[in-house]
Amino acid sequence: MRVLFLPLALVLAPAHAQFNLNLDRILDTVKNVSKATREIDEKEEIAIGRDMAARLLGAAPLVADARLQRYVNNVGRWLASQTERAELPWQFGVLDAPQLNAFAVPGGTVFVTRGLVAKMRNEAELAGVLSHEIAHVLKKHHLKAIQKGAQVSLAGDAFSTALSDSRSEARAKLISFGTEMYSRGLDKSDELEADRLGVVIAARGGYDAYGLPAVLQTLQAMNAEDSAVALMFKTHPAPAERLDALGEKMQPTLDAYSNQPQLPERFTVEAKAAR
Amino acid sequence: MPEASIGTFAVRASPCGTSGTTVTTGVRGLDAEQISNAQPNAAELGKMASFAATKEASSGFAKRAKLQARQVDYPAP
Repeated sequence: MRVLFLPLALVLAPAHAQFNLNLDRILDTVKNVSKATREIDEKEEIAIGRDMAARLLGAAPLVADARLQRYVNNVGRWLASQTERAELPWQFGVLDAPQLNAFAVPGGTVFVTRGLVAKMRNEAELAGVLSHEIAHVLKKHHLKAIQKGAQVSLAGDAFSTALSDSRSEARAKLISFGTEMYSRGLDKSDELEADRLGVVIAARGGYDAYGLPAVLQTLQAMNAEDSAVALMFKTHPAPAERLDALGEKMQPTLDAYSNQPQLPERFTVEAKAAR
Repeated sequence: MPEASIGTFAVRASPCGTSGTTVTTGVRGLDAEQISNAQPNAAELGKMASFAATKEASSGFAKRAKLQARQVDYPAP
């Protein structure tokens, strides 16, 4: 028996060690997941947002017209001031791109393309689009999607490193993932929520609440094959679906604030450079 | 303003009509590939910050157009 027992002990010893090793790995994974799911604080959100904004500006620069940029910043800042995150360092930019699109970046940065501004007819429409993007920032839609993606793509302590070290490889990976979201799109429910909240924010700012629906109508009338709207249509629900959803949930608000100003004259003068 | 119905949603007809269906072929600019391959542009980021409006300035801007802030509740989720 003794002779038999000794080799058995030798066989069992590595198995025991292996079990411990596996348990350690499982514990590490649990720790890593909890690290990746920890709340990103506001300072980190703003810093991540700045890096993502710099990337988007690398894809398309600002329209070189200070008057247009200041105008959009005034409209956007006024709207953001009507929200629960009024103290974020809000900044708005018109990207020099012919495509029709708009982007919300975590931490309070919002972009709209020259192509989309060129299709607008008044300030209420601009306010509607900016309010939709502001709503994404308020609800942290992109930030939550980034965090979810980080759980899969960043191993070990990389998520914490990505947040704390802006020059790290992990940070570059996080920003790449975040920026690519603008090509992949958010969940449909996030877009429809941003539409509903956007209507409210524009109404709070004193604008005709129909500004956003009016832009959706413009998009609906465009040819879906047009390359200028390809990315927008790929990353958002169809305009008809968005209009239906707004009609279903927001008709009373839309109607109650439909007589507020549209300001076509000011828009025509201030947004001239987008045309 | 006249109203037209799209699905269940009553929308006001545009006084200017729609924007048409012009097809823009071969457009360069902000497409998926460019977004994925973009390198950060710190100079443009700095420029953007210089255009930011303060809360107070935007309030004056709203006042000049007689925009009035309203109390409007978010819809129930």
